[in-house]
This record gives sequence, structure tokens and C-alpha cells, in this order.
Amino acid sequence: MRNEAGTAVIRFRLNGEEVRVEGVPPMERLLDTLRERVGLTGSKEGCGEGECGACTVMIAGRAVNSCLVPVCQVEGEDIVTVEGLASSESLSPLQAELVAAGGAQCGICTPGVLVAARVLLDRNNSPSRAEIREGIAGNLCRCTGYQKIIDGIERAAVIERGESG
Amino acid sequence: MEVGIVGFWSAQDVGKAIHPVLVEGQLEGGSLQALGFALVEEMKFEDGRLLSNRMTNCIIPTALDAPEMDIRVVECAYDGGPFGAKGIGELPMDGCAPAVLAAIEHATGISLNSLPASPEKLIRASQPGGDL
Repeated sequence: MRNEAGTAVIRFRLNGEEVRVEGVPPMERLLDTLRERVGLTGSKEGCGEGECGACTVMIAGRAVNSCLVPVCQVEGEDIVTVEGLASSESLSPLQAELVAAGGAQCGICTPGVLVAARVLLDRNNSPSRAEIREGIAGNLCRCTGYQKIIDGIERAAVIERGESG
Repeated sequence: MEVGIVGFWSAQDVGKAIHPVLVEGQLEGGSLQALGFALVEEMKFEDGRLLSNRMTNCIIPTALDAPEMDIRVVECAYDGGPFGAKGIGELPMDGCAPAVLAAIEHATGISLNSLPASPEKLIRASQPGGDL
């Protein structure tokens, strides 16, 4: 469906709610739609070419670089951004454990890492450290050396399994 | 010939770890930057123009490239720093690349004199009359 010449109306599910954006150029990057039109600035642009993963969002349960997705492609889709990882004002266990482990330094990779970790843990609730590395392989971090990111995700998996002491 | 890092151990004297978690994090991050410097990072220039100018071709280590790191923080207090602290950001950059090249020489006899120690460079250096 189109309104003004060259623009479209796109409807999708975003963090559990139905969203409708109007007057959107269909080839606008999903990253820009989320940041500029919807106002969800959690997803970051690190490279704009699908290499760094800072723009990672979840589409139909899969981790996707939103800088590579034209918004017309998400009509009817179910999208989760980093803002949707917690259901209330407090951090989810995954978010809290990543922070507590020291897995966030400058923080620019953190939203993408969290979404990728969420996708990983939804698919595998007891990943090995090697499996965690593979799960976040698409998320570049220059600050941490990944060590405490993996520690945090590993700890979060333990808590989500209900095994923490 | 490709180099993989199977383990990483270092001890770093920081004077005083004012924020221990962040100090460890900086040491881990800086160490991986230096390992990347040793193995995969290359700034290529042509006629004064930087060719490695995007994330696609200016390659840095991913979580799959990074080893598990065991870093010991040593505190020998430094009178000139707050609470005895020294700088930590640059510190982990110093030793990693030399350590990697020393390990390569120990394993293969190849003594490179330039970075990164890429597979192509190692193959060339391992051939008779090959350059370093």
C-alpha cells in the first residue's frame, strides 16, 4: 500500500506491539526506520555494511543486520530490538549478567551482542563457551576481547536454566 | 600456513587496579587488539590512499578468533599515580605481537620481520629464498 508518491505504509510487530509507519521510502534501511521514525535508538550503526553486527535485531526469531534490510521487507514480520529484551523497567537476567560481568565497556556493540545472545539462548539454553563464541561471531567488539561478554552470557544461561545458587 | 591461538596467558603490572573488573576488561581488550595486530590487521595503502577503509577489508578479530585469556593483574604501586595506579590502556599492546612472532619462530623456525603474520606471508617465508 502506498500513500505519497514513492513512499509506503509498513506494518509490523515490534517488541510485542503492532506498529505502523507511514510515508516511508520502501528501500529505507530498517535501522533508520527504527532509529529515526520509531525513536528506538538502541540499535547502532557501526559500519552500515553488515560486517559489525551493532545493528542486530531479531526478525522472526533470527539475528539480522538491520542496516541491510529494506523496511518494505518487514511488512507483517515480528521484530525484537534490544529495547524489547526486558519486559519491565528492570534489566532482564541476560542484560544484568552481561553488565555485572564487565561485558560492556564503551557499549556500542552491546545492543547487538544482547540480541544475538538472546537468539542463541532461545535456541540453545546451555551453550558451551565455544557455542557462545559462534553465536556472537557476527558481533565485533574492539573493547573487551570478548572474554567478559562470554562470561556474562554463560552466567545468564545458568540463571535462565534456574541453576544459580 | 595459518596461525591459531590456542591459549593466552599474561601478567600485567598496573600499579593499582582501582576498578578491577574494568582493568581486566581493558587488559583483555588491548591484548586482543595486539593479537589482531600480529595476525590479521593490515592497513594497505596505494598511492597514498588507504585501501583498507571499511569494516569489510580492515579486518579485526571476532569472538571466534579470540582465545580464552588468563590475565593476572599485578599491583606494584607507582608513586606518581593516583592510589599507585599506572596507565593500562596501552600496556597490553606491548607484548602480544612479539610473543606471537616468537611463538611462530619457535614452532616453525620462520622469523618474520613484518606484521601481520598472515598465511600468505608465512607461506612465502617458508619457501627456499622466501622473503620475510
